[in-house]
Amino acid sequence: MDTYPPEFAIHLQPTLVVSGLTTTEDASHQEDVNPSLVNNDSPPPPPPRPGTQSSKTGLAAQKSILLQAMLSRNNVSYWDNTKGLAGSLFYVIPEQAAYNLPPTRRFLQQTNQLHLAQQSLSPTAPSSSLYPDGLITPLWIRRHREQIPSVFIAVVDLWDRESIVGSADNGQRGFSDKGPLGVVDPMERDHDTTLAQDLLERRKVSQERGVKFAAVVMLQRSHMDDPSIEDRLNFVRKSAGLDLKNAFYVLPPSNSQEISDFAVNLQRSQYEGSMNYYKEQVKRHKKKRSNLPSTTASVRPGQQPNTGGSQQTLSVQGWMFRYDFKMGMFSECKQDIDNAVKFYESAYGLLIDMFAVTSTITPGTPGLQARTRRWAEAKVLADCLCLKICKFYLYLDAPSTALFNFRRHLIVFKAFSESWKMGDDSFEYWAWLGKQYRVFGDLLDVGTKAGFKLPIPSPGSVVYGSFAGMTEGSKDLNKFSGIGVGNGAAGFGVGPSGDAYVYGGSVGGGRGGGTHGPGAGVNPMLVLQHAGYFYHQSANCSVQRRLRFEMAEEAYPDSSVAPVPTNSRPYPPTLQSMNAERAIDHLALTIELLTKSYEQFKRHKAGRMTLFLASEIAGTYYTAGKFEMALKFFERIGKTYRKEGWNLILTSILKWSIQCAKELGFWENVVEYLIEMMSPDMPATETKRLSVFDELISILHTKIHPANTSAHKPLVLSMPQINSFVSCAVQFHTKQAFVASASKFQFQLATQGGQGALPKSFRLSYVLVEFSDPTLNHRFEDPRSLDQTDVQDSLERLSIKDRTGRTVEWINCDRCTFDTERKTWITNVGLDINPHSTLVIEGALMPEKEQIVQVTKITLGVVTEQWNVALEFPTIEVAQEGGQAGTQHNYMPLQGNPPRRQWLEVSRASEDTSSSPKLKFKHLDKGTKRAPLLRVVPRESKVEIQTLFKSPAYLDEFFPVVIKVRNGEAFPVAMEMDVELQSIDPSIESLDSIVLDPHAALKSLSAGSFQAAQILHGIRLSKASSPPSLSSVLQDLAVGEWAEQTIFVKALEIPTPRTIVCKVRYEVSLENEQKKSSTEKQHAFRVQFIPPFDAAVDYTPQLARVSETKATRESETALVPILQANVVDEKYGAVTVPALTHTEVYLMSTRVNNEGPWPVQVKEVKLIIGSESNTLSETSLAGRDGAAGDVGGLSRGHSISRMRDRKKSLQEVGIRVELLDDSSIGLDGAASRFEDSEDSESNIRPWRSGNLQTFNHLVRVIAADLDMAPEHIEVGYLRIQWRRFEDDGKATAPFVVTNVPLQPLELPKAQPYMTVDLPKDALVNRPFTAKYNIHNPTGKTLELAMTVEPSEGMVYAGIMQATLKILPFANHSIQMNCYPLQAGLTRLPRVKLVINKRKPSRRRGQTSHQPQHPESHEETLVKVRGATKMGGPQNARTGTGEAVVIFVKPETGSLE
Amino acid sequence: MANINISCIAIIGKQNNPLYIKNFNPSHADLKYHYIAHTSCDVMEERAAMKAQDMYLGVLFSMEDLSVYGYMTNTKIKFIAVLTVHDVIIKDLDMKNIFRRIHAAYVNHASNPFYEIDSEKMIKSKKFEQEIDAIGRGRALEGGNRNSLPATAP
Repeated sequence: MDTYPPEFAIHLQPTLVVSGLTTTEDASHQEDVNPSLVNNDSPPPPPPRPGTQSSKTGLAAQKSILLQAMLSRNNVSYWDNTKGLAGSLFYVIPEQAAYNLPPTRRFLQQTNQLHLAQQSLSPTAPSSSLYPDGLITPLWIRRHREQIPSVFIAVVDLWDRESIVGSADNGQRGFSDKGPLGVVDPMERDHDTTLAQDLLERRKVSQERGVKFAAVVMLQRSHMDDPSIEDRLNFVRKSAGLDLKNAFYVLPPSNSQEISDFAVNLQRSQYEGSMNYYKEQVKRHKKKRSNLPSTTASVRPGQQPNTGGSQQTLSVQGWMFRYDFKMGMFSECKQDIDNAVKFYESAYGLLIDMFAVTSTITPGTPGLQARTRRWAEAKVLADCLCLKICKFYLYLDAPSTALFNFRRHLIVFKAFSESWKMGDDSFEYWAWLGKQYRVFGDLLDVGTKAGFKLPIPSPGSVVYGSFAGMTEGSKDLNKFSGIGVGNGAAGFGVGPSGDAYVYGGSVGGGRGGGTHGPGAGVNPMLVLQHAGYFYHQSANCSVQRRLRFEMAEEAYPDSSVAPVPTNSRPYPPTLQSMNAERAIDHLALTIELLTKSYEQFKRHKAGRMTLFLASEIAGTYYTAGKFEMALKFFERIGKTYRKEGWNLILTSILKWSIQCAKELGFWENVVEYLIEMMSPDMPATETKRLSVFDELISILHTKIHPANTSAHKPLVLSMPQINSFVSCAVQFHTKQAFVASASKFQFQLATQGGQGALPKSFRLSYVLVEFSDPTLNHRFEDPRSLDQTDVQDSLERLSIKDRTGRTVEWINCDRCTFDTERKTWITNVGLDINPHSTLVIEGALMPEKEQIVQVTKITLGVVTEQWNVALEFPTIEVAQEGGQAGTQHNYMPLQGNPPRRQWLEVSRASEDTSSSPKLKFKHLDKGTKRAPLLRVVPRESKVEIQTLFKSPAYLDEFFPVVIKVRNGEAFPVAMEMDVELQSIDPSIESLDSIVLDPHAALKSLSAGSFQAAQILHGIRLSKASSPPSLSSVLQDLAVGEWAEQTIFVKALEIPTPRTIVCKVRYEVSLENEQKKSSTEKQHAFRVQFIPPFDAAVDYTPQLARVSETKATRESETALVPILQANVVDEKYGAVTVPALTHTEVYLMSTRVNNEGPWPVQVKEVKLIIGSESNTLSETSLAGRDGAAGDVGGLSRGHSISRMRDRKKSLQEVGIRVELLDDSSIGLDGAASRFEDSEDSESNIRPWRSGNLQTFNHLVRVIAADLDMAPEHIEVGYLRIQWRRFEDDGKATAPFVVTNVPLQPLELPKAQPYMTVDLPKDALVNRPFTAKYNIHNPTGKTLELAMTVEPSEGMVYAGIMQATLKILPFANHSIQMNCYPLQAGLTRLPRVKLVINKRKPSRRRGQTSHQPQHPESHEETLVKVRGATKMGGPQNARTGTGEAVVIFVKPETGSLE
Repeated sequence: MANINISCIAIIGKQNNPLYIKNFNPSHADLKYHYIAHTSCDVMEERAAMKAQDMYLGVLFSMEDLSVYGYMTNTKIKFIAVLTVHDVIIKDLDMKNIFRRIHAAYVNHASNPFYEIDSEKMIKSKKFEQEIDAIGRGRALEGGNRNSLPATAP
């Protein structure tokens, strides 16, 4: 845009001249007023008595700020769509103080001062540059922009006395006071009058021009205190004839913010005046235009004489154009865009017409002569006008109209160019066209930056018009130029067909409707796009321009000889334009335009478009010979096209790249690109393919090739990142293999694409297959030189052609030799990649350790004297890992799943060797897609493990388990075995143990050194016959032989199954190697454990025996610490009273049941009383137990620890249990006998399964205080010493001890009870006396209510009802005389005693052991206890039946 | 319809990979259309993001005398028609019809059980080529109405 005269291109604003703010010097460089200067005036005004100096600078600073504020919005250049008041209002021109407007020409004429007039710009003035027939000059616009304002503001100072400081009166007024009489200082008045005169003068001049005039008086600080200032200002204003409103302003000293506000307000207030000024101007020119003579008839004669003469004056049409243009310009200044565009369009129409051969508007008038000065001027003018019109349509948000105008301009001038002999085969046309596109792009760029929004073409919503008819019309220039002018002022706005364009929104059914009507359509040529497209177009034009220029240069190479004009195309250019064109760097221009376009697209986030542009830039660089730049670009953009599979584009880029690389001598790159070009994905013809192939071969193998002046660095190409011409894969035949056994793999190398993809055979120097275990790497080498064709190796090879015509070749290469230097397996084999073929090399690898073997990389190499090219194919996993790390490496070949695994199977149909074997690809893994992988596992063990045991096992016993191991291998091996007892709950420390020798274990148990072990390590297995040992030398077990080992498991307490795992380990000597591999076999089994015995106890109270024994006294001594009289128990703080001691005797009847299915031998059954062990120390107990027999120490220890808790509690509550009598002797005499005859085990009879044994024990329970006693007393447990009974009599396990817990004894509660004292029997009709004893064992006095209920068989005489009181621990007896009436068992009258608890019961003591009375019931029945004296068998517990009965004998008979 | 002059029909896959590009206008090289098809991917994606309801995306951009129209299926297959335009109004309805025909042709092709729908290879099918050729040259295909979407076909 800058190439056009700025006056034509910039956005025009109303002009405002402000005078008095700059000095003469300042005015010249007003541009560089430093804003920092302004800033130091922001502090508050100077002090009240400022010196002259400071006051002056203060005023100057104020002026500077004001100027700055006025100029601050002057920066509008090309684009201002803010419309009117909102935007920057004026273009402000600062002038010096003495400035006045130039006088009008009329005034000068009147005053005969015409010589002072400015140089006229009219074509009528001979001094004008336009004389005689120029149209318009930029100077005219400049004059109106910079010299003739619409508003003139004069900034003046009021004279101040202080400015003459230093004179004689030192600033004193001549008259002391002007006072209310209006007496004024004559000096001031003088100055004010001068000022007013000056202002008046300027006002008059302005008025003549119609320019709005305003004055701004800037006051100084000293004025502020002056009371006369108001009068002075008024005087000046009135004298100058200035209106108070909008023409006279006073600016007191202010800070910068206030000043800038003032500046804005000042401009605002002047804006209307300015608008009026321009309105008048438009009106004036309209009038002038209408005064012009008609274009048709009247002018023609006038024109006649001038035909052909150089002094031809401007035609009427030209004048019309001038006025239209001026009106447009004034409208633009007025910011009246609608009218401006109308005038400009009209002007444009007139101007276009003038280019035609003969004008249609002024018929007969010849058009502008091509290549004349006026023609060139007019061309520029037309371009600028078009630009302006486009811009205004963009202002008006009519983008397609703007684009329509632009395109129309191009079409029209293209047609004109033809007639000027500079059509589209001349560089001049393309230069012009490129410039148009570029300028339009600039316009859009500026506009979008300033906030213009590009339209979004959405289908159906916008209806666009077209140039319909215009393009045809334009063929006939005259016809075309006639269009659109219509009727003068209406101008060109309407297109050729009347409604060339209809813009949505202004037309019904357009955007407003938003419908997808059937008529909806878009002329794509009228869709406005962003500047990038126009820059790109411009760049294209630039390319065309260069091509045309080069052609012209070829035709006319001499820069001093003018081309001879011809009438045949292409028309020769002029010498001048040729020479001018020679100075232009076309390629730089193209690159610049493309870069501009690139930036635009980048800004609009069109990434792929930028790639396209980059390719064009690269191409231009190539043309310009900047190959390195070009190559860089190509490499960068190639990636995306490769990734997205745009192979045609990629091919083109590769071709360019090869050219660049060749030019640069980058032969490595050439090779790389050629290899990619060989890929069948790159579209090319067969001959092209062949030439690519030949070129590659010649570079690689020809010594004399220019590429091969020196040896090249090794070139490594990662094939997944480029398109490859071959594919390769490695497959394992099986998914799993044993260590040290050979497993087959195939390396498959296939050409890509179909027939003809690879024109000739391509020979590889080597193939390197790398595995995750580097010791397995295989390298196949082809030692032949290029011209050797015969294969020398003696490998087995087969070849077939499949249905698609593809050759499949199979080579057996399983005999590789290990190269210790390179640490790879190497073999020589022919490695030709033949066209349309698949090469399969079968090999074998033998992994030596347990692992997962994967293929990491396959490398195809070509090694020649100068070259070492490696084509690497990393496997999918590796490549994908790499791809995730990088961002740009997700290339096509790797996308998706791995391919199906294929295996080329060689099937030899029969034994007959003459028939050739068949080759066929078969899917492995049933066609699932997965990466090849070989899992190497240790050999399978062939050992057999059996276990023998009699389930279920008993707890506590040493349970024998026989483990038998058979050597199933083909050779003798020495084996070791681990046995592990798995704990039930890993979180609890298990007490279970597993031993080899139970007797030894028992011994160490009794010695206290036993460690419970759940695992047995390293049991060496030997033949079943030899004794088991841990220490013996490892013996080989013969093939097929059984080894046997018995282990003993001792499980305690918890009757659940246990899991036992045994592992057999041994080492195998491998067939062909000295190495041994360890093998292991594991066997797990479960054993159910159950408790061996179950015991149930009955306790029978033996009331009668209590008194019979002397135990009471003994126990008193035994219980000394508790029962000593009146001793305060320190622990409980309570007094124990001997009288409270309560003794009861019970018969314990224990039934022991052998629960399990296996018979056991019982050596001893013993009741261990809880309190018996009380007095014994732990050690003595252990010692005694040890003496008693081989005790299962673990069981005992565990039981003791549990017993200790119970013992404690018994002691606390003062309970002592004594064993009075062990009656187990009476059972079958066995128990007592066992004790004596420990050695004679054979005598011990087994308890069969389900056998029930009963043991009676008499125990005495002495409670120090019943109230404190617990309800349940753990009497003790049965200690049973036993072992499993083997029917064959061979008992291997020792005796073990099991403690069988017994049910607790329930002690009677401390509550009142009755006992009955009855005679043995009674006789009918013979009275007898029954004695009821009421006992109160509690510490409370009880009140009892007694009632006697009569009985049928007995007569009772005595009180029927009574109330008793029984003191604590007291007895009370009631005697009843009864008279039996009938014989037999007869109920006694029932004595019902009820505890009356209406009185609050007081608790004795604070112990928590106080028995809980059932307080919910008001009355408690006292029960009758211990009616055991009765001889009857069925009434053992009469107390429960609530009936006391007696056997009454008949009167006659006597049983005695 | 008469004013529509198809220069190129391009079908672009999900991954912005070319599936089919056919040049009907020998005045430009194939390469040019490849470039145009490739560059239009961005515009289509942007356009599709703005309005989701219609598969027809209207004119994407114009470059020189070529105007590019776009259409994107719900499965993100992009159809592109490049027109050589000499100042005519292109009716959206006409363009939509063209794209529907292309769509139908594509659906017919994709219905082939042997066609890997996610493969990124170029489409190679005689039948498909015939159909596209008929669309590109602006004539109906012989042998019945094959140009409607299968849903409306009997």
